[in-house]
Amino acid sequence: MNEARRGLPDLGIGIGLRVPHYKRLFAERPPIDFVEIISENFMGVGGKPRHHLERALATYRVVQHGVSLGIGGPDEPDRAFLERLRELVRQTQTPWVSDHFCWCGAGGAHLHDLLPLPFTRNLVQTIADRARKIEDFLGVPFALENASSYLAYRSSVLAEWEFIAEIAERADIGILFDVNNVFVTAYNHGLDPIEFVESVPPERIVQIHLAGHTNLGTHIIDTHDHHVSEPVWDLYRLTLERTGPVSTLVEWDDQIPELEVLFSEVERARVERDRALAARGSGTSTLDAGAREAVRQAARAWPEAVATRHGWTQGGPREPVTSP
Amino acid sequence: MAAFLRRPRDLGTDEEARRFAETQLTGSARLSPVEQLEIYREQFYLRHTASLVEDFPGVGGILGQADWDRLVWDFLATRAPTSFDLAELGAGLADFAATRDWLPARDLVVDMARFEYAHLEVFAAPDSAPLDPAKLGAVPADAWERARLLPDSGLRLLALGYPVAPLRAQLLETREDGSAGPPLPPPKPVFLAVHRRNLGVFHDELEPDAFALLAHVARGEPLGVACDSAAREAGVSMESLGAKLERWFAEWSARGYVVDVVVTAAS
Repeated sequence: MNEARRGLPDLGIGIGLRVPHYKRLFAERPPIDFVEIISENFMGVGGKPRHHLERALATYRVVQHGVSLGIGGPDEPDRAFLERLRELVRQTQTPWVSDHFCWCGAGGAHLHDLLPLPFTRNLVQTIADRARKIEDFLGVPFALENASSYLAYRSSVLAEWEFIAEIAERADIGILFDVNNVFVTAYNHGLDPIEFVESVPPERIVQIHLAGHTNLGTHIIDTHDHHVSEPVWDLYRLTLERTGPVSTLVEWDDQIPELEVLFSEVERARVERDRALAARGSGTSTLDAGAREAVRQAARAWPEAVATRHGWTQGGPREPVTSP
Repeated sequence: MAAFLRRPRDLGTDEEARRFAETQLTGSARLSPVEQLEIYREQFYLRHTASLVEDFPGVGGILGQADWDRLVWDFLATRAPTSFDLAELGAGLADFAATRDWLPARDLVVDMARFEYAHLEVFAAPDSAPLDPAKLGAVPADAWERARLLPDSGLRLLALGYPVAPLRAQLLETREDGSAGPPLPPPKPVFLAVHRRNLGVFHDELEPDAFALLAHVARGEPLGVACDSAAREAGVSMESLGAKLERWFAEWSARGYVVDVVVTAAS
């Protein structure tokens, strides 16, 4: 398969649709290339979530992204969950739907986290089989995202990039490539972030995520509550130099700032994207050997901790229940 | 591994967890295997307690920080979340609280948890078209006995032993302004309908006989049967009940409690 983005459109640069921005987005309708919704936030059937989804659909191009599938878990994906997801896909007409390479629970328990997987050959086959079935069931192109991780398994026999590339190829699905997660994971496990980016099959990448993180010194948490860091911008450009134009999403899920701050991050992404695509067009790179080494060094450094305890979240706050 | 992530104490002091981590996990240059596992365990509690704090401010207000922490940590360690939807996390909190003998003001806490969870259920319940008043008017007089009123799927009926609604409002107010919490109220039976209208979640206090009838109606009973049962339960005569029906039906349809009327053919 050589067609870029699996033939899916480049939608430009979008933002995550988050509750604190609803009021201004729906009143002022600022131009945004696309918005990404967290599927689970709209899989209820009525009330305010449905109302706000309808407003989003009337205003913006909407792409769906999920956080609960747990495709690599010991339990088969939940049929009732998939039926509700399919119903939402029909409603949003999303050009693709995505979730994560992760597990979320076991034995019927749901831990509401993107738990890391052991990178084994057996699991490659299991996830590839499930992913193929899910894409068929949903009737829309399917992609999986590399997750941030804070632990690694002794049973892993593949590098993470080998694992996700192998699954994407076997299942013939897309990759949602989170370049911030690449950096977080590289820092936490002593990996080479440049090698990670350069080892993922570029034609499989259908969307890119950008976000900020929190460095606690001993490890980085994927908090989505900061500006994108400089090494992550470097990885973003390096990715685009390999892929060509790919839909890019700026995520900001905690300590959510005013829209202007988010829009300035989108503009930065546009600048970085233009630089990368220009370099790609001229057969060069924006990262020379020294710049690449600097990114590697940033992933090896051990800065002062900026905090001692920090949570993480996906998709921002839930919509509050209003009562008179 | 999932079981370790739900343990309520730091895994650094948990010998079994340490052995598991050292066998299964690699650790890193900066963290030991059990420290890596602990990141996820801590996050399990941070995420879920934050969600419960958001969903049950009234329960938290009654209990205060220490008892609230004890209740929710116990809850999370005992009952694994089973839904992908965090809004359903507290579905079993009221029942769980009812089993905790140590809880102060336990019955009040249970009632508050039921009241607050009803708000969550109603918030995103399916949308229903309002009842067409003409449909009520079209029911022949002799058909009312076998007519069924269909409740809105977002209606929740709560028979409680404490006036939790005004207490919750007071608790939220004092939390906002930092003043001392209100005194806890004495028991008093209250009958509430929690429902959604124009995207907002509301609650109404109902008369006991109205509540009894609405509860039977919501179970799908024909009106004749529902009225008999409600009159018996509320200790009122059928005549007394019958005199209020027109007003109640008008209120229920205006508030969106009932969304349709179905008349089955006489047998």
